[in-house]
Amino acid sequence: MATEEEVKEIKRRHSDRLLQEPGVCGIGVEKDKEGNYVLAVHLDATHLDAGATIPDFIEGCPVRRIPSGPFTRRA
Amino acid sequence: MKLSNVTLFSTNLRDLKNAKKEWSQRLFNVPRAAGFRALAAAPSTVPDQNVVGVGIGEQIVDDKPTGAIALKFLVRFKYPVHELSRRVLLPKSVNGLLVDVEEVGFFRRFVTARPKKTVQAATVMPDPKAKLRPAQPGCSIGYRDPNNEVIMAGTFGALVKDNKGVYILSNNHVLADENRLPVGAGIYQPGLLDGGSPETDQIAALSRFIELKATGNQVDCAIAKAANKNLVSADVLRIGEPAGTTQAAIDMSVHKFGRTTAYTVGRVTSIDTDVAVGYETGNFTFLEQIIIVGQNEIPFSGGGDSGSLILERQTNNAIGLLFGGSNTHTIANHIEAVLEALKVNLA
Repeated sequence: MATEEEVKEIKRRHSDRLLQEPGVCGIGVEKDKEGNYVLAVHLDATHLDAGATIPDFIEGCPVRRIPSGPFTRRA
Repeated sequence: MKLSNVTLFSTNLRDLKNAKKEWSQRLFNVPRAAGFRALAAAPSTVPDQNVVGVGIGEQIVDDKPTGAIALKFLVRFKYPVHELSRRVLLPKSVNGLLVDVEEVGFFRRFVTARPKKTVQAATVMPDPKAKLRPAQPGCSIGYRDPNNEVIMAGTFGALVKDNKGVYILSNNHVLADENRLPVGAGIYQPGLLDGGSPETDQIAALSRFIELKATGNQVDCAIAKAANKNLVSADVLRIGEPAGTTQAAIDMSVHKFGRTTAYTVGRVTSIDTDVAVGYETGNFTFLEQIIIVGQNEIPFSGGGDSGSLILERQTNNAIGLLFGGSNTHTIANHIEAVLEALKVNLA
C-alpha cells in the first residue's frame, strides 16, 4: 500500500491533467474504509460522462470516484 | 469495524431497530402547543425539544469511533450530565443496548429570501442573521454592490490583528466581491441580504484581499478593518474564542458556526485536494484544500456560510476558512495559509 506522501506525489503529477477531464472537479488524497491512502477523484454529479475517462488505478494507486460536485463558492 | 458473529449482529440490529422505533415515537409524537415552531431555536434540555433525531450508528467516545453499534440520540446541544435533572436525562441503555448521545447542532433550511425579524429567537439562541454588537464571528456580514444589482451575505469568520489594528476575516468573495471592490469599501453587519442598513450598519472597511486567479490559488480570503475595536469580538457564536491554530488532519472532527446553517459538525476527509470551484466571475482552481463532510450525512455548510472559521472540536484550534462546496462536501483553505497570506494573526 502506498504511503500518504507517495499518493500526494502521484496527485501532484496528475492533478492538472485530470482536472481537464470532463466532469472532474477535484483531485485529492483520502483514505478508503480500510484506512489505505487512495487518489480521490471528485466528479460533477450532474455530468453524464463524468469520470468516464478516469482509470481505476494511476501509477498503481487505487482511484476512488466521488460524485460530490459541482463545487461553487458558498456566498 | 470488525464483526465476528453475523447472527449476533442481525439479532442486535433487530433489537436496535425496535428500540429506535420506540424512542422515535416517544420523542417525536409528543403533542406540542401552537407556537412551538417559532421557539424552536431556543436551547432546551427537555428531550423532546433537544433531541433532533434517533438513529443507529457507531458509538463515538472522545470524538473517536469505538467500533460498537449503538442506539444514537442526536441532540442540538450535549449538556454535561451534572447540569441535567434526572427528569430530562436520556437513558444510559435501552433494553440492554448501548446508547450514545451525539451533538449535531441546530439546523435550519437554506434561506435566501430576506427573513422576518425574530426578536424572541435572538434573545435565547445565537441568530447569525441578527444585528449583533459587538459583532461576533459566525454572524452575517457583507458588502454593498456599488451598482445595487445584488444584495448578499456571508459569514464573519474570525477576528484577526496586526500592528495596525483589528480586522474581520472572511473570504475575498464575501468582503471584496471577487477582486471587484476597492480598498475602503464598507462592510456591513448584518449583510444587506439579512436586513443590514448601509446607513447605520457599517462596522468595517475592506483593507486587503488576496487576488483570485484562474489557477493556482491557495486561499480565498480578505480582511476588513474594524471601525472601532469595541464593535467586534473574537468569540465565535456558540463555540467561543479560538484556542489557536493547528494543522487539519484526515478524520479530524471539526465544527463551525455560519450565517446559514449555524452550528454544524463534520469530519475532515482530505487535507490535500485540488479543486475547481465556480464563481460569478469564472471557474477558479485551488490547490491543497481541506475537504469536509457533515456528520450523519447532514450538510456541513450551505450558501451564505462562506467565510466561516472551522475549528477542531476537541481543542477549538482553528484549522480552516470555509469558502466553497456542494450539497455533500465543504471546501476550506488551510487557516495557516490564510493568516500567512494576509500577514495577520488571530486576535
